[in-house]
Amino acid sequence: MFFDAYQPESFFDEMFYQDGSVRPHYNGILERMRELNTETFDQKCQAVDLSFLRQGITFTVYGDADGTEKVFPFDLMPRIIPSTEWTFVERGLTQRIEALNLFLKDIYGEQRIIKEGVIPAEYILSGKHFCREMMGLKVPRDIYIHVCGTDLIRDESGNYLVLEDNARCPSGVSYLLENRQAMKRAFPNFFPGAGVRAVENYPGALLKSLQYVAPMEKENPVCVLLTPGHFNSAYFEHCFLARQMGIEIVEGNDLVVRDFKVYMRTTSGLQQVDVIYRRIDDDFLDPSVFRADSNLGVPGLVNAIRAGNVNIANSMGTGIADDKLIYAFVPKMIQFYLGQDPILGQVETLFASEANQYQHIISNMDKLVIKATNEAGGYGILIGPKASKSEIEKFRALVKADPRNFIAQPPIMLSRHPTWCGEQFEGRHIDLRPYILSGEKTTIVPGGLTRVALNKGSLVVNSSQGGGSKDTWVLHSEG
Amino acid sequence: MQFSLRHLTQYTYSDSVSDSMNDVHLCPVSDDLQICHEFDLRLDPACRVIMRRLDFYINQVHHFEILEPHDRLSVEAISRVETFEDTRDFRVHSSPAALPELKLSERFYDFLSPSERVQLLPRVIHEIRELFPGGLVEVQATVLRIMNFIYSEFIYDTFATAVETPFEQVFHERKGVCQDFAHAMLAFCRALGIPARYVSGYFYLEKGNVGTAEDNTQSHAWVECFLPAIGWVGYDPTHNRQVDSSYVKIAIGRDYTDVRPLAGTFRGRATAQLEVSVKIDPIVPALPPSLG
Repeated sequence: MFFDAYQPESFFDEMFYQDGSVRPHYNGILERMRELNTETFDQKCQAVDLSFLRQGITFTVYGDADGTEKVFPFDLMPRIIPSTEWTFVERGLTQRIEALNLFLKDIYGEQRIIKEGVIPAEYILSGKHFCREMMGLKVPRDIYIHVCGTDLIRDESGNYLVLEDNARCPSGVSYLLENRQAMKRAFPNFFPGAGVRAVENYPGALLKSLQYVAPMEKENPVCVLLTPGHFNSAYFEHCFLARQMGIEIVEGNDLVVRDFKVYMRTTSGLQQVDVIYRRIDDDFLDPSVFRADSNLGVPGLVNAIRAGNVNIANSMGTGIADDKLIYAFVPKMIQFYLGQDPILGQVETLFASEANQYQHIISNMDKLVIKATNEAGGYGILIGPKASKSEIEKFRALVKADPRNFIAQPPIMLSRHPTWCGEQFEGRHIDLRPYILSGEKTTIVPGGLTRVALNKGSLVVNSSQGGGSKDTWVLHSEG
Repeated sequence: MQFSLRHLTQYTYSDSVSDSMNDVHLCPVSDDLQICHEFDLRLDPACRVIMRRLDFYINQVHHFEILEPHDRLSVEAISRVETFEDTRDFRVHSSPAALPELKLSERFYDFLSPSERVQLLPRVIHEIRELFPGGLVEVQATVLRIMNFIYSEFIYDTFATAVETPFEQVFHERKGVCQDFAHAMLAFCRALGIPARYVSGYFYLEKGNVGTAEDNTQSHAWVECFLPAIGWVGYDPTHNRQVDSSYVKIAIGRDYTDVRPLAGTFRGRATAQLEVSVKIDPIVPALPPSLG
């Protein structure tokens, strides 16, 4: 009854084949949903929304005049990934994060990838997030990106493609965990037999990764989570993760540097800190090195890191690895550092900074997706085919003024997933953000955060721009 | 030549401050043209640990922390440096044909690009076109021409600018000190595709020679340009002369920001008053003991 009128249309639909028959890994849930009717389903939706609001699982939209905190809309229809498909994605992501960590070690050290002509020096040195302070700085275990949130999409034929790597302070993992809780509350009978892999071990795995990179391989290191404070859009998540990991959540003022060591102020005096899971951007980390006008960070922190007395996750300067221009070189990095072919594909990228591609971009802005190279969170993006004339003109001027800061990609029709739209299920575009932890080994919590563009036809899944999320089920089997 | 150098920086705070975290670029480099034989950093209040490292441009950086409350800070850098004659052949021509590929190298990119204090303003581009209507012919001659242009166009005026005066204003008013002369020359060189970097250091001028008021009693700044056939060569647009053994180099960078002698933060609501004094003394080699 739920899907009688459902139309996959010409998109890749996660649940249905083109001919309308259901994919085998969705058979189970379809079976269970026969026990429900639209009314009870809608009631469950409302109950879940209310519980999110009551628990304060919210986020903040910057530049929004009327509200600060919003609930991240949650869609009860889960996204399901069969076992072999996930194994493939997991292998691809593991390969990619290994290459990115080797890349960072290289560019802040020998710079072989530049010297051997694989990536032009200017692309790296002109990157806003290339951190000259990191040059020659050794990080424990050669891990720079401890937590990576890599956005995957599926094209018209269902191929997984990497859309971008978020290697700075990726957020959203708390929604992944809360979504699962919400699903379990809403459908307590679904789970025991559904064969869904657990996600609840994420905070434990994160803590392990943090402990693994303690300076001088220290045992039982003291880890803390450094937050910019409650005005930050992800403050809920900071509290959530700190609580789950059982570590202190601190702000810059709670930490002091003494003799190139970092201490936390506690009621019983100063306690030395070994690893800082920082959820604050490079620019604000240490006012004595970066932005002197900010007091979010910890004066002296950078030198404490240099002295090897404390480590931070992620390292400084990882933003160059998720620069959208450097993104275009990741397949080459995988070849260069690992001698392997990339397992996961990615989206073809044009550079506005290259004379021969610039003209093509400027005269085809209505057909392309234009992205600022150093922005994140869905800001600084133009989707040409959906943009108004004035938006296109605005972007054309921006690109002309600073070509290095823009790339262009062909629009990809993201896959669609049945999504509850109040009265019935309709197809909405989705992506997937798995969270990859680099520690003793690479750990990826099964699945990730599936984000869904709730507005009909929209391709933008960011929470700040009308996106919602779904629970993501990775099955133990093929379904 | 040998020099003994004393660079004293003193801060007096209007109120007590603490947790002062500082990065210091005061130790002269050692390279083909000079050796820093001795360097000492004396701090008052004293500090337990001083950390030393090399920065992105291979300059020596010292870090120190003064944690206890204090209302003044004195940083005294004392060094003994020996400088040598530059024996490279400067008659060799440097063709501009070798310049475009330098931008592909990680060693030159930063010195060919605009930086925080060296902006390639439309006026810079315009003046470059007027100065070199036929384009770039020979690199050394071009650099000398630029230096001469800045020396004659800009007026040395210690009251016209401060450390934080924006480049655009300096360039428009054409007045300033060595730092401003250097930034202007960097802009011209980079606009033409000649790698050029900022140098901080000291300049010794023997008595009786014509110079600026700050000679021998202040730190100095000049530029180094890369001549493809020769290498990095120093030019001093404030005095319109090529750098020789009377110059002592401390550090190089994209512009002043990279090589600030003393940069840092403190906790407290005080305002700081700064006083700097520099003393440059040539060390006269001791005469062999007389046999008489």
